[in-house]
Amino acid sequence: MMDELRLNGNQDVSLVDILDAVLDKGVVIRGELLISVANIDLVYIDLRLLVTSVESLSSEKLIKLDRF
Amino acid sequence: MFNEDNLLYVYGMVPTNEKENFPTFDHLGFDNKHPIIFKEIGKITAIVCNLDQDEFTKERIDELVQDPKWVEEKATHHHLVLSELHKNCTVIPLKFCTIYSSSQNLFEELNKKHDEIIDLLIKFKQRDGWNLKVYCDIEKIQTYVNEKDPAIIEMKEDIKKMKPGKQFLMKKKLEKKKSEKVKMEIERLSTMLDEQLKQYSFEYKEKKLWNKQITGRSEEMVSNRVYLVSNGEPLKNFKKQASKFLSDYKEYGFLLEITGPWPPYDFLDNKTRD
Repeated sequence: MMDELRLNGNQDVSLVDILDAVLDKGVVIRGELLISVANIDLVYIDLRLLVTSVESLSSEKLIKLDRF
Repeated sequence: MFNEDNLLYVYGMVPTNEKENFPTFDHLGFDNKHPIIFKEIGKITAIVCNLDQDEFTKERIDELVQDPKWVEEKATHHHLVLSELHKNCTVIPLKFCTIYSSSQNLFEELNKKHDEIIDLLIKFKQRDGWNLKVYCDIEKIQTYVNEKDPAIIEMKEDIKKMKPGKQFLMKKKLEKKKSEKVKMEIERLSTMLDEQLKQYSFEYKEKKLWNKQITGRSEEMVSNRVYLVSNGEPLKNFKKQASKFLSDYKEYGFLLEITGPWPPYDFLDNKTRD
């Protein structure tokens, strides 16, 4: 069943996943990140820069369904 | 040394009665200068790190968050601290860059929201976040609809029997119908999967769909949801159900990506995030 689950290459959670989880508003699709700093200001960040610097982290592994 | 009057970066909160499971952090905190410490406030323990006031002024933070490298490093640090806690005990994960002006300020806040925080800790006990992204290979589902959908097959048969002039018009209608069917099938099946998974979840949240620039995949993301699932039997069933969906609808072009267990970032009551 491996070929059915073409996961993100190295099967690690990507930086974008982490940012999407920890930033207040998650990843915003219009090429920007909207984040809340200390619940005071909303700040935009150019997501393209982040996407190019995406690195995989091994903190949480993608779960392959065929292992269940 | 911990300074009560300094700024406090707050990662999250854990129940004091799970003290024996608290991990130790051998690395420094958010500013790479101060240690990460457990601040016990009655039944609730906050995981915090001092920040120097002259280094983290509001203006300075405004500048820092515009540097993607800084956000990447610090957001990852924030997540790794929470992941470490989450591996060992129940945790309320706060969002990135939650900073209080002093310990006193944090204590007041925790006292004010004591009951809500306790309720959240009860909700998160033995439960984790599981993110499910559903992708669909559009060409594959188009082929499936074209070759297997009974209404489309019937329409194609009818067209064959028509005169060439009428065939031309009907073929256009057929294409339109095919594309509507593709959309309907994606919607129907991803909703069906969601309904099935909700049965095994305590709570769920819909997240934004990511475009291909973010996912880096050729398939379209058609659903992005996070479920709060209890460990044990519910989680086993949750995974089994997802696996069954995949084997049933593989030929439609569906792919699933499940990540977890996540600290329950998406299930904080809004009231406690004020």
